[in-house]
This record gives sequence, C-alpha cells and structure tokens, in this order.
Amino acid sequence: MTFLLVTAVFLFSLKEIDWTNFLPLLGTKVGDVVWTGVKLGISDYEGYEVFLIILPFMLIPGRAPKAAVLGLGLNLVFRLMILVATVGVFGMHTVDFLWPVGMLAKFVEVPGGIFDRLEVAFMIIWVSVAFSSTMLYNYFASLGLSRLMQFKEQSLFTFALVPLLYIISLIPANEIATEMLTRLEQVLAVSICFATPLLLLGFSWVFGIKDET
Amino acid sequence: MLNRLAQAYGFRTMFIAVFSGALVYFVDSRQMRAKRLERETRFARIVGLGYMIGGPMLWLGIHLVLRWMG
Repeated sequence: MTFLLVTAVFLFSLKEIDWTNFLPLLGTKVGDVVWTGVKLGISDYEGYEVFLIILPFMLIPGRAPKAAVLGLGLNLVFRLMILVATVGVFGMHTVDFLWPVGMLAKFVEVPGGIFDRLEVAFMIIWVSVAFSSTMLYNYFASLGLSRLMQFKEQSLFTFALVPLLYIISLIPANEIATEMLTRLEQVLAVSICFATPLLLLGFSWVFGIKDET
Repeated sequence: MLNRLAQAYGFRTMFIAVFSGALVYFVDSRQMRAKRLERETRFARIVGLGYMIGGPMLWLGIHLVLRWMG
C-alpha cells in the first residue's frame, strides 16, 4: 500500500517537476557532496539495527543478507523517488517546509478529479506506517528488557512500556522541540548502531568466537 | 519543571497508565500463571498494581502541589 501511494505521488508529480531545479549537476566538489550525503544518509538509515536484532529469530539466517539488501534497496528507491519529486517540484524552496513530502502530496493533482486531496490518503497510510515501526520498537524494547531481567516471556513489558512511551512522546512542547529530540535520538541511535556491532565483532575476534548466532 | 510534568502527565496519561496497569495485572499475570511462571506472575502483579495505584496518586500529587504553589 505504501509502495502504491509513494509511486502514485511520484507519478502524479512527474508533470510538475521542473528539471532545471537539479542544475547545475555536481556544481560543488564531489568530496563535499559525498561527505554531506554520508552525514545525512547515516542518520536516515538508523533503522537498519532491526536486521541485527531479528537475525537470531529468522527461520533461515543464511538468507538474512539477501533480505537486508532487498529491504534497504527498496527503501533507497522510495527515498530517491521522493527526493527527485520533492526537489524537482519545489526546488530551493524545499528547505522552507518542515515536512516537504506532506506538502508534495498536498500539491499533487490526480487526473480525472478522483481525489481532490491526495494528502489525506497519504497521511492515513503514513501514520499507519509510522505506528507499525513504533510497534516493532516496542516489541524489541520489551524483548530486550525481558532478556535483561531473565524472564521467559517478553509480553510482560509490552503494555507496561506504553505509559512511558506516551509520556516521552509528550515531552517536546512544539514542532521545533520535536525536531531537536529527533536529531538527538538520531545521533544516539547512529552511535549505538555503529559502535555496538563493531564492539561485538572486536570481542568475537579477541575471544575467538566463530559462527555462533 | 513541575508545570511541564503536569502538562505531560495529564488526565489522559493517567488513564493510559491505569489501563495499561489493569491489562498487565489482569491479562498478563493470568497468562503467566497459566504458564506456571512464578517470577513473571509476581512481576506482572507488582507492575500492574503499581500503575493502577501509582498512576492516579502521581496525577493527584502533581495537581495538589501545583494548586498549593498557586
């Protein structure tokens, strides 16, 4: 459903895209482009630790790299489509919007007048997608806590964490504070996601642990 | 700080805490007992009761202190 909607937004915005917005192509130094891209890209790919957590629960762990590449590849294609559509339509004004993709969905017109306001459908799907990842993180948090406390069931923490999550979501007073909290969370997530696997890999080398998942 | 806490911990949050506590106490603890997991059952009861009693107490405490401070 998300795939269909993102593709629809991209296709309907194609006729509105001003391709001159992408010019001059590589007008800045390649090194600067790569460095800025890596800095922004790392924080956008913070969700990849999900693969590391679900790996022990997979029926066939050998297929994990293939699934990870497929998942990340689809994610990359979606992001590229949205980026091209947003920058192509809004140009340098993209930075003026807090949520440019939402504005794009509002801006796009569906031929034939089937949908007057595409952003309504877009927001419905977007919110459900956002909540599906929240459920996933709630599961991982409860799983981690149950392992930490050596419980045999993880479902104990599923409901117990809900009030805490709700209170944390209410802490930022406005959109700017929410963005600041998101940035902080991204920095923390990237540090933990990159540091933890490297540390574990280092330990496995030092202690000679091999092929134990 | 207390005002910010009062904003975050309003009536709705208190209701969510009580509701979650009730679910943990009545649903989770029974499931754990059915699976004969003693530690988990005890934990579910303590957390459930803590949420159900502590949630309204905290809400009342924050609002009483705020009223007392004017």
